[in-house]
Amino acid sequence: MQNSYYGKGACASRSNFISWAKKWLLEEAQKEGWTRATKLQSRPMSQGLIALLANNQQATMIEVNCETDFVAKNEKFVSMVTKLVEECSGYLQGSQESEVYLSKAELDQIKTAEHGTLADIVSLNIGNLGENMALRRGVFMQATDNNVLSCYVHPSGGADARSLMLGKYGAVLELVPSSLSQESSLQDLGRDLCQHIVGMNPQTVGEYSPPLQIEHSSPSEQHDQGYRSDSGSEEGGESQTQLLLQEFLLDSSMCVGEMLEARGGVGVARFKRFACGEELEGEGE
Amino acid sequence: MAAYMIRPFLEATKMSTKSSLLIKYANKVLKTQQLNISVYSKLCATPPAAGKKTFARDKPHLNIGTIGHVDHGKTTLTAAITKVLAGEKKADFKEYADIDNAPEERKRGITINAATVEYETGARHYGHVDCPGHADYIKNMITGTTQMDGAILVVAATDGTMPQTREHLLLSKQIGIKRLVVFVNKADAADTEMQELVEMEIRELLTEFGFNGDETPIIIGSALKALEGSDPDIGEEKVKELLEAVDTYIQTPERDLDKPFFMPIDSCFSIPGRGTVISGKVERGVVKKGDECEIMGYDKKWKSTITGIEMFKKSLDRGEAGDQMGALIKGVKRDDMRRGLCIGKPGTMEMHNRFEAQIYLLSKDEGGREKPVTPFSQVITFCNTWSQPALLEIEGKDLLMPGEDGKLVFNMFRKMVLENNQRFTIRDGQVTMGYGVISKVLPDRDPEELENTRKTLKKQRKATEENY
Repeated sequence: MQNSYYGKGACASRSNFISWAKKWLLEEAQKEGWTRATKLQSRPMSQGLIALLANNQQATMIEVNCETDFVAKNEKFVSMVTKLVEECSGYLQGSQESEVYLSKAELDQIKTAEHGTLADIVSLNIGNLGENMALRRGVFMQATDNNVLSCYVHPSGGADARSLMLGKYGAVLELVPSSLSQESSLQDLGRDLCQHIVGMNPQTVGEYSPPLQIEHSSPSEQHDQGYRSDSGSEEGGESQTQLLLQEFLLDSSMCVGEMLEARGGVGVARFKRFACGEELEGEGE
Repeated sequence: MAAYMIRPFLEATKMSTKSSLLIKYANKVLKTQQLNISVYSKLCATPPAAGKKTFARDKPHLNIGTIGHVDHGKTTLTAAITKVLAGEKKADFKEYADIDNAPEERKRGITINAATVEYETGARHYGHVDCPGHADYIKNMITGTTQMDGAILVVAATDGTMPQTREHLLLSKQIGIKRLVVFVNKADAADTEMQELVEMEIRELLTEFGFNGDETPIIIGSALKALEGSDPDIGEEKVKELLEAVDTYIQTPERDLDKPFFMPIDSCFSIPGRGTVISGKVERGVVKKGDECEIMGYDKKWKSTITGIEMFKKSLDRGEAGDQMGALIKGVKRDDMRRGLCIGKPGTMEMHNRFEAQIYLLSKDEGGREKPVTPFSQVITFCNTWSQPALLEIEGKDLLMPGEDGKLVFNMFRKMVLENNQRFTIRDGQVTMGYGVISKVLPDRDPEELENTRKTLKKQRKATEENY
């Protein structure tokens, strides 16, 4: 009784108070996050997640790091990464470029829809989870002409997770459809190829010419090399880094180029692959 | 006696365990653990006898680990434990930096980030492991060299449980830890009210994850004070209390000797005029002359009686876990016997052809394969003395990358002796791909149906191609 009476009178000011208190708490948490972030910033991070938000025209992929894989699995971290990739994607959507690469510094400065920057979101969570974290890199791709984007994240949470994907490895691929290809089968092909890229880690697209047309000094040998990249590496030979010459992951009887040829000459324009925690060139400093 | 068959799997185990002092110790006392790979040599196989307290090896050995958030003082606590016990001459004092800078270890070729310390209490000897990440604990479990029997969860009173504490508890469940002891650290920096809150929070969380939240001992203290040697009330005393809780609450695993007789067969031959002799190393239990036994594997089984036991060309009355012995068996033809079969106490072994396992795939740097595992690819499984081809199914994923751990389902064409927690190696041609431990034996699958499924899958692939 006492309470409800009291409540009536103080209703207005109380709701004010609550919203003020909430705001204050949030600010405190943000401050706390920043102090912790500064304290922890020297600690190494090798774990984390790759997040990919895409449709078949545009794709945004980011990497967020943390210290332990315990945190990488935690739902708070997952929801933070989700928010970050959504913000990034929103920020980049208007871009005219077909490909944008963002470094850590650029990403941190991106303003969010509410207030603050992406760096603020990260620091807030550092305060919460007590581990060092950072938004490491991001990439945005946009399909040109009639091309189609496909993407894949490993480990995938099943077939239904279409637009937003989280995992340890991510790949985005731009395919040039041939006149024969149907959209649905192109989707499947793209997914399989992205899986291949995640699995086999090619460095470049490379060039594939049907075996009969190779007329260099030792045609058979050259063909062999591309064809059996995988078994070749087991024998100590150099492993194949050109996508089109690699043995196709899901069917080892052919190489990727051959497989694409068999499917009516679908072309690969470009691809991007992120592996969580991988070493990057020029990141020594 | 042809006792020294080359067993690459076991040999490898032996080699790499030499790397660490602790593991060496573990070898000696492995008897007391529920391990199914024997890594110890004959000389070390003396079973721990009860009653004698003068030698470390007479105490049961347990492996425990610390888990908790990076800043909550796991390392400080470990250092404090060694300090307190060093005072009683039961451990060598390890400084914080020594533990923190522990180099990466390679166990059976796998790089594991683990700090290991050893110490003993009045009742037991402990190997204490501390790893930074989930994957490291999983690798530890899979390689089995320091299988954890229990764990100490460290939570700072200043922070309470962290969001990732849930992941820590999930991990404990996953690697088969049944009982935990909790140490609420940094009691010097938090008031009583805060400490009580944290304790309540922990008990709730423990219950949620299926541990006994009410009975789990929670000790509130300060590892730092114990390490500094000040405030014994919350420092040294609490560490002692913690160790006592670990001694009493965490159960000693059953010794291999107390389990039913089991021996994988290494080789077999016939001695003219006497009969068939099989040899191998006894994994578990004790066997006596005249005991009934069962032999199983490759879809078949036989019943027999052991009519003689021999070791080092001498006749014996009994053989026990750790012995490399030969056994004369009655009424079984030499031609039926082969390496890979298992002999054991009747009714204690089972044959299956399908199981689920926790796997760690070696990364390229560790000598593994570059290519990920794809569904329905074939590998060779090496387990005990047998090896069998197996088709792999991946649960909930499309691929398993080198350097990753995960769950795989193994489908073999023949039934072999299997059981939970059994460890094995998987290879592909000349390359060791990874290691695993059986987490669940699944109902048998008809080999014909398996072969058909594989063929259908292949056809499907071809069909999609021909559509173009």
